[in-house]
Amino acid sequence: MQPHDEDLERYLKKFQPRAIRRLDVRRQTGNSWLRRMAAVVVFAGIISLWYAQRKTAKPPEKPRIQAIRNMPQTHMSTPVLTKLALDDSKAFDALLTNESRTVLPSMQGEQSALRVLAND
Amino acid sequence: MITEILKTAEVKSLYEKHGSALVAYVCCCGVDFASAEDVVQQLFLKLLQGHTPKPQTPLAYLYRAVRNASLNLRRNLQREVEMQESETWLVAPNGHPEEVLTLQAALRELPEEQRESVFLRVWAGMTVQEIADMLDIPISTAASRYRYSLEKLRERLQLVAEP
Repeated sequence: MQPHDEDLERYLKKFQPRAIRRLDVRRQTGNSWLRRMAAVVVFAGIISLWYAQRKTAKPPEKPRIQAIRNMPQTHMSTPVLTKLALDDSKAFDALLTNESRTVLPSMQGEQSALRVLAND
Repeated sequence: MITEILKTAEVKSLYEKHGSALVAYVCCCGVDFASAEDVVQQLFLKLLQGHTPKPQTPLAYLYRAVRNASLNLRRNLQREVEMQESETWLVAPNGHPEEVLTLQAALRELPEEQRESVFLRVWAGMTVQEIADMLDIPISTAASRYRYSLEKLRERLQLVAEP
């Protein structure tokens, strides 16, 4: 390097870069902390809403299903009933009539099959 | 494999030491002072987040990063940004802004690669070898760019080199 180059370099070095603002570390870290907190709050809110909705909005069992479930079961199995129907149709009819009084749900009750069907 | 990152104190120290020169360098690349400050701030905040592996040569990394950022910024603006004529990014030793404006005008007239080489040598304090490494050019090219830039600056500043 020539001596006059060094002089020029020295001259240039007398000029300093202009001062700049401080590194805004707090804003950055604060922002990221706030963002994380906000994300956690939103996530927790969504989860609790979902849970609450799931708990309260559980659909009530349909009355028709309840009515069917409440039906007393007959004591006679299908093969026995089939045999009776084949052997003695009158006895079978009598049995059905008798069973219908106890097995079928009450037609006047609030949960009666007719009302349920009418509602459906 | 464990990737080493720059510690917060190291990042802050680099900012204190080189921040203003980096901003001036971005200005020298044709970006206004406020945008240049943003470019440098963003780079350092990214380093603070710890997503960037520790560079082997932090100074060269920082200059390369802000150089790329300023090129992207200029590209995004979709126009050739001329260096601001009235905005100063250097400070004169005697505090006279006229002298700064004269020097900045002289720098502005240099071809970009020469302007860059003189900045990196004088204000970033890099050796010619480091400039060559950073810009990925042969050392002879870096040296000649620097020599030409000084010659042109001398002409423009009308300095008498020899007493």
